[in-house]
Amino acid sequence: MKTKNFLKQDIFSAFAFIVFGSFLIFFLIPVGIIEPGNVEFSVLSPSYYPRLISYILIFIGIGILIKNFTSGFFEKTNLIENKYLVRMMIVLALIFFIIFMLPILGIPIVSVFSILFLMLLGGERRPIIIACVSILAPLFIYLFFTKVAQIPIPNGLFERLI
Amino acid sequence: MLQQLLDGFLLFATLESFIALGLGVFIGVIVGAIPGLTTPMAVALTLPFTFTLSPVTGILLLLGVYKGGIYGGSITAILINAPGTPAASCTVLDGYPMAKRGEAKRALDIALYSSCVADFISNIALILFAGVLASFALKFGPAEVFTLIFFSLTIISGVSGTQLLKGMASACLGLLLATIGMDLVYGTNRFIFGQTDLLAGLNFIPVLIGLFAVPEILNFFCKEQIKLEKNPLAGIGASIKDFFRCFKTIIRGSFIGVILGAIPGIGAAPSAFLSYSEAKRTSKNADNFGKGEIEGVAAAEAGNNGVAGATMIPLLALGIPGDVITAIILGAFMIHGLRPGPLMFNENIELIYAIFMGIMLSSIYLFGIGKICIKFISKISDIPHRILFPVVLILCIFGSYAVNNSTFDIAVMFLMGILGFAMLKLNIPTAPFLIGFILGPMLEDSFRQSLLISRGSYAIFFSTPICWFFWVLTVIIIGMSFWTYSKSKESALLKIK
Repeated sequence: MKTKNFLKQDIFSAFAFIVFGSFLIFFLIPVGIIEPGNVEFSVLSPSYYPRLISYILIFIGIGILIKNFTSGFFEKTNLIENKYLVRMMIVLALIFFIIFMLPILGIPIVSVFSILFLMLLGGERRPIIIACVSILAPLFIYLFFTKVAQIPIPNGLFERLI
Repeated sequence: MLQQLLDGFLLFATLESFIALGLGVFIGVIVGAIPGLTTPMAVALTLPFTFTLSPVTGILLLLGVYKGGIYGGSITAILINAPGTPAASCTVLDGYPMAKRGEAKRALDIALYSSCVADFISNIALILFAGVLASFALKFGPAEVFTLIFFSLTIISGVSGTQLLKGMASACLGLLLATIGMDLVYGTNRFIFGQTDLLAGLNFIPVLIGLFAVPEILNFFCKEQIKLEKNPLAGIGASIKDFFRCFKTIIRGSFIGVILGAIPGIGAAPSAFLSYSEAKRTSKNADNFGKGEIEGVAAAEAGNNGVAGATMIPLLALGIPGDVITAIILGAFMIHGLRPGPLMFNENIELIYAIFMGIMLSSIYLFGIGKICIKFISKISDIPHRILFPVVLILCIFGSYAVNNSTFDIAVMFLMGILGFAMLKLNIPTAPFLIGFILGPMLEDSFRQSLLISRGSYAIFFSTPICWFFWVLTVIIIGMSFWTYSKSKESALLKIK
């Protein structure tokens, strides 16, 4: 069963490589790379090397497809079990929350809430452990980075308080 | 000669030199072990403290930080799957699976032993062969570097396991990601899309952390919690038997490190990957590589630490810094009114001898300090994942921010984490991606520099015996990889049938 799942994943991966490679060649490279007008040899152009790799990526994708079509297994696969899907979505939502709230709340405060939330989500239920770890760990890391490594850590709205 | 040696010893044998070197190694190990704090950053921050010290003491302090930092990177690579330095990125491949089995102490021990032996060999090479290796290294022009890096990419076959094609695609993605930023030949932008944070390209550290540590944390939340299996080796350090089992690998890795370290601009990461690949190719336990093979940890660590002394070869013999750290050390020499190079061997030979003596002592310090650190740090692997992983995630956030003082790097880390997680679920190996990303800039730069020199002619890549040597090696390795791959495919099909 595991092998069949691998083959299904392989086909998905192959399509992803082909689509991404084509997207690079037809859209990202023409739009994202500024070609200078005075390129003497095409091999020196800034887009030559990324274009070359994109073609290789497409060829590899086709290679994976051919390999899998010849072996002939198509089995539906479940990458993440349904019962963990919600938990996964919550963690992903937390990641986006962290990215967007960091400039507003600052790293220390976001860290305290993130640890607390993730520990609860991970199954930790002892209140003292949760409280100690979620406050002391970010505090220790914060003090190390600011006082020892002399790296200014953004505190967001709490800049004056911390 | 004897008089100069004695003068060198007198210069070196001061209490402040002993303390500075030990302190340097300790700082290096701690900084290296924290994701986001890089060894060049630590060496640069230590530089101002050397102004008031004597030249020998100051330079030994910096060398201590350098050597400690290279080893320190392996600690978090093994314990939490987050390499502290790019050089330690190869160590995660087998180090972390060992830690997951409860063998963190064993992995940390063998990493330390390999690091010390490789460091020692590298120092000896520096002392004995500085002149010879420096002149050999100077024969490496862009075309030779290109063929060497191209050869290094054959490692992909070694780290892809049974997923060779997906591994190659993964490496292509890494190579593509490395092209983001300003084009160095024409100065035009590539894949910037108006985002100025991307002008200098993506930094190694957020990509490394994102690719290895974050997927592991995400994966924790979408699977049943697995209790550590009963393992008789849990909590036990590496034995003498383990060390001698890996001895050949360590020696080979050390020499790979010495040779690559002597070539300016190559660095420790390619050396670690090359050493790993060679170990896998020749090992009796090749199938266990990537699943927690102790030899894999030894190979990676020997490869990256073998570079430590050797990078000083072009610096001391020719005055050419091989990487960022040796460039900072060159600065330290100049601050003290010294100019490394052939003249220094004539005018300040006693100072060179003093540095050599300090360098030899640094290997002993590394062993002692490393042993003490392992005793305490290895306990981290006993912390339940539901407590450890949230803290690791926060450490990753601080570490990614610290690289450029930019929240943009935190976003990069998370995006790479999500990509790494998707790759994990699709069974696409992440190690080739990382290899592509690390070697990519060197590959492209040397490729385009060569073609600039040859005015667009590919003949330059076949113009010297060194190029031919690496081409022949590359063809042999690719041929062997496909042969092994087709054999494993045949056996897999037989199993399905």
